[in-house]
Amino acid sequence: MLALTRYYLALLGHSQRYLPALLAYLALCVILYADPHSPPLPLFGVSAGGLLVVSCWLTIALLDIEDPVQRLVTLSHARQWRRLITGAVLTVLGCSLVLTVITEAWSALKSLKVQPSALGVGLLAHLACAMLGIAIALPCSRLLVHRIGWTVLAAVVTLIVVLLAKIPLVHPLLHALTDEEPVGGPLVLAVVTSVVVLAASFLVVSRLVQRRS
Amino acid sequence: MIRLEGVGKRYGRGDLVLRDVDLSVEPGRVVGILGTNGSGKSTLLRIMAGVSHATTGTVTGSPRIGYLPDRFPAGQRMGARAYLRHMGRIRGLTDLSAIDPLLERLALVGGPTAPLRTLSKGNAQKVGLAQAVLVRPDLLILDEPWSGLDVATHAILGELVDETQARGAGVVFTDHRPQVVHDHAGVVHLMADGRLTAEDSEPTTRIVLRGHGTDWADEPGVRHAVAEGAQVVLTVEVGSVDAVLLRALKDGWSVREVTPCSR
Repeated sequence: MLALTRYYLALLGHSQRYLPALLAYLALCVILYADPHSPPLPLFGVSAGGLLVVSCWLTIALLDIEDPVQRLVTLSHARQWRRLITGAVLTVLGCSLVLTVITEAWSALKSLKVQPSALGVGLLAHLACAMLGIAIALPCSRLLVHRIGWTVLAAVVTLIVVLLAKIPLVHPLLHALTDEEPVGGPLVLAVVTSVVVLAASFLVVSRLVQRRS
Repeated sequence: MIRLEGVGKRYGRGDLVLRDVDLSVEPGRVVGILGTNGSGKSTLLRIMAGVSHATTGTVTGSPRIGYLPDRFPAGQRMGARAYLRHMGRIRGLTDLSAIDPLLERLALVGGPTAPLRTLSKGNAQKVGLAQAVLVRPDLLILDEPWSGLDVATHAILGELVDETQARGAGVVFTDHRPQVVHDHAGVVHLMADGRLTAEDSEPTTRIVLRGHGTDWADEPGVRHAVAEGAQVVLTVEVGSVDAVLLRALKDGWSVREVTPCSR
């Protein structure tokens, strides 16, 4: 699995398709964490929402790099669609984890009010959003949708619904964070549902791709 | 090594592109599949390579596969050597020292660091061939491997097939040209409209004619008749060679070549 993840990291790095999402996210963090007097949790709510979009972008971009025929060659070495998709998921999770650590470190260095518990909440919030972003991206990606226009449309609509509608995924958590309400329940809900939705998305997409091949 | 029984394939709700295919590949055998474009050759190889699943029938055996598709659309900025190293690692190889000699042998233009997207079709196909043989497969599956490669690389490809066979691995390849298939395969199967049939094991002769006017496909003893420009290439059963040549000369054809099909 490590070999697949290394390959996908190299593909993403060479393609430079990560740059627009990365630069936009870093710009968001620069603006968010500029004021050292701002409470950290509302800022974590915004940057976690940003990471949801970034992880979705990275997954779609990564799975779009290989031509479908070339992906078959990779599959002939990996042997199973599940291994192939797991490699891509772990790659984006790894990238998201790095961005989360950068965000948290940035916040800890700049803010005068940050506490370890807030950093823990921020870490889980960012990772939950990253997992949900990947879960949204998998069925919208080139694995199942062959035209990039439909991919973008499906992903954007789903992201807007997940972020803005009162769906019990990460929306209650982001709402609680930005409004400085108690986050315990929404945090557990977001983490659990993100893991479940990612697992469901992974299993369904793996099954559908295998059936279509 | 690998056995297909009653294999059929349908994409979505379309018609069957493969029907009731029975095929087994034994170690140390080179199997050639001869068929026209769209006859189902590539689909069959994808099922054998494990990258596509059969709609009906069973595939038994799970040898280590090396698979080269009919085109290798390498569009990345990654270098050829780096790409091959990644493929080797994904397959679980720890010794990757064979990559550079292999690329050197295939005379990859631009060298091992050349980005894949800058390679010509033929050179990309060389990288594709390299990833297939690099893993020392038990079963080497090559889809129209001679297409797109220059003449010098044809010889190296033939050597690689021979070496794979010599170490006891199986080889399956496709082509639409009878001569290519008969030159390299020990066992030949014919693919037409999704159905696979074993070719008669009787030896054949290749006859190249120039002229026009005769429908050779219906001539007794003629296995295949393929038009190549102004010429027609016939694959003829040995016992019918004299009769075919006589008919050709009577009909005003010019005989350009008569050679036995090898293996």
